[in-house]
Amino acid sequence: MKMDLKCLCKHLARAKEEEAVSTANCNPYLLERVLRPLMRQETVLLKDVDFGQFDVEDIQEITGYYESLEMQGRKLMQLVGAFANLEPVACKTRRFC
Amino acid sequence: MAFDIDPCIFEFLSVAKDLYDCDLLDKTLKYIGNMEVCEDWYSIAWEGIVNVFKQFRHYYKEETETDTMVFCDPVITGFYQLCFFYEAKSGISRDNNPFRWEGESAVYQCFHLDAYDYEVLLYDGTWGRPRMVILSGEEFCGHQELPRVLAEVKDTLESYCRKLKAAIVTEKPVAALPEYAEKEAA
Repeated sequence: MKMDLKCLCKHLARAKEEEAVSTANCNPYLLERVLRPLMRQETVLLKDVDFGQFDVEDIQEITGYYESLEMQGRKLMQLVGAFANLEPVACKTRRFC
Repeated sequence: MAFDIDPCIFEFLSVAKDLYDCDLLDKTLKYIGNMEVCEDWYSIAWEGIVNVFKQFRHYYKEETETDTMVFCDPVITGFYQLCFFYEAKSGISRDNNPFRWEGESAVYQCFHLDAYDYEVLLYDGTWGRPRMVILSGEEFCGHQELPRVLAEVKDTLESYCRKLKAAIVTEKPVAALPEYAEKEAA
């Protein structure tokens, strides 16, 4: 596998910043007060969760969101792993004096 | 951001939400204290199971890996006492008491669990105390649904107690339910 880092940087700079998985159907309370703190490995106490802020269906929705996010995360980590395993190759032509 | 959240955390949230919807969460929190949102949904489900009815006993038979859960509560006792009272007052047998078997059927219908290897039995107190018993084998995996189902059972029995009280007061027993009268006559 060959990787042109210059080209990659150019594409990354041009890319629009957007969410990997849409949060449109996610309950904002569950997302911000429960899931994201858990993903930051923070402690969420049961007594601090306001269960009146969401329905059972919202839990299913947030589960689906997390699973998709996890899948995207795995793909990204695979890509990072592939990049990390690349052997650097010297340029064939002289680039500076 | 970590992508290693145990999927059981979502199960935990579902069980806790069920407890909240059944007004059981505060009662459960008294026993489990400052529990974290974690993957241990079984503990919270179990606390829910224990706290729906007034009395709960659990037995485990190691040889057969069978669980026996016994629930006693004033609502179960009340339901059967009212059934006996209604039968005595209207002069019908227990088999022909529509409230008894409709009520019992309604209870059994609450157990629409996404699981198998279990059995639910209701005892009217002819032998021992009125009680509900759940027998479950090693393959039973419906514990997370049980607190909600048990709360439904309690509501169902409360509703049948109200119906029985009304029927006893108005003294219109068999006539109000012709299909049972026909069966009895046949």
